[in-house]
Amino acid sequence: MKRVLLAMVKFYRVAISPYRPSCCRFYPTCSQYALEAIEKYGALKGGYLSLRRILRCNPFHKGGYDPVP
Amino acid sequence: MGFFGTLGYYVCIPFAALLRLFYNLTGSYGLSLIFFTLVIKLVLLPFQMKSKKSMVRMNRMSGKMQEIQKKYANNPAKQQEETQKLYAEQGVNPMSGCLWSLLPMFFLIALYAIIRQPITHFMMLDSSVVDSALSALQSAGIDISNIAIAAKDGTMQVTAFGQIMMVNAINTQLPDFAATIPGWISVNYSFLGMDLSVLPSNVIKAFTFTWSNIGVVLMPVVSAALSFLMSMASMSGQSKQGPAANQMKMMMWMMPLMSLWIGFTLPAALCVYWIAQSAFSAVQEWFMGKFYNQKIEEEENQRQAVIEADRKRRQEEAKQKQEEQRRQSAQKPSLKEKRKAAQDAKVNKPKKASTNENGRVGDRPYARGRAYQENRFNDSNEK
Repeated sequence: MKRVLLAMVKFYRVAISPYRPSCCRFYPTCSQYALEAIEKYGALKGGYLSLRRILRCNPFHKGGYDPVP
Repeated sequence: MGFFGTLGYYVCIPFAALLRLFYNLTGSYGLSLIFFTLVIKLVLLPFQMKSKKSMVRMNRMSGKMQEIQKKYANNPAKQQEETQKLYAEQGVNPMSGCLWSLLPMFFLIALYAIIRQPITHFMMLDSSVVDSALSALQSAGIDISNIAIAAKDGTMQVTAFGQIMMVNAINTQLPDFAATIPGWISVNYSFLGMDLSVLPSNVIKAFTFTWSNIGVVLMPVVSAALSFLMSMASMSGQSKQGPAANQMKMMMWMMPLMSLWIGFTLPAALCVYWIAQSAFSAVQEWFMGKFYNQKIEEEENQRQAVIEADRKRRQEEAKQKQEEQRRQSAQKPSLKEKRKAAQDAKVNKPKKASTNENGRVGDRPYARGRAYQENRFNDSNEK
């Protein structure tokens, strides 16, 4: 599961993200954050953290520097 | 349906309800799609306004950005971090966020499911209706080779776009069956003389010069052209050099080409959404750009006015202070005067006598010194 998620995020980073304008309000970016979070906390908690981060990544949030806890 | 199918089904319910509402109001699938797009755009407007605002503001602080870029030219990670810090300081963020960029994709996928499966995802009927419709078509002797194919176990499997064709076939050839199903909508797919239920790629395969065919083929082209124009417009503010720009150029071509391909392989109805979406975005972008440029200009002018007023006030205060000092210094004696006064005082000081009568012995006035006291050994301690 963990590997599947990581592969999906990596695929996104390689194949989809380069063709879109950079959009993330945070540093590290959402996808980088997801990679680190899933690597560190596993699929379930890491996935949950990444999801929360993606939901935070909207114009009503300040953005900025927000590393994996 | 697997897990994602079920999830997708529930996600589609509100969108399908909205689309159905507009369909019941207008009676045209194309028009209801356009209204649907409009509603989604309106719902997302506050998000877009917010990001547009900070984008415009961000354009006004590009000087600081360049400074950071120069300072950390050989450390992109640090550069990114510093940039983010700057944004946080200024309270702006030009990026609209990952969620925002995923949302249109999300709507597109939901709408795709609704368009592709009109019976289960638009009319929200049970999948058993699909089976009964299929057998009704079969027993009426209608060709269903495009709608369903026989699986290995002998059951008929509805193809990817089978439900659309099924709806069309029933509407034209078996209206009696439609009448027996409560909740059946005889979807009117014609829009501006085009048939929105067909796939442009299928139309190309058997192309004849009718308006309907030309229109359907033009739709993905128009949508790709619009998305190309949009990315051109969004590029116009950015630098045109370096590897990033090359990537951007690539992206500028790739995205429209991809949308062209997707547009050809999906029902033309999806293209209506796509085109409407791009058109609304363009209009919105234009208005918001004007509006916010003006507004921020005003804001900036106001801030400038406040700063100016503050400066004036402080100037005034400083002037007064200076005046006060001058007045005081006019009253105060100058150094020269002080010195002279001191000299005068020295000169005019009455000279102390170096001796007194105590010291006199006979005709020698200094004989005993000033401090001499005649009766200093008195027992009475009197002086």
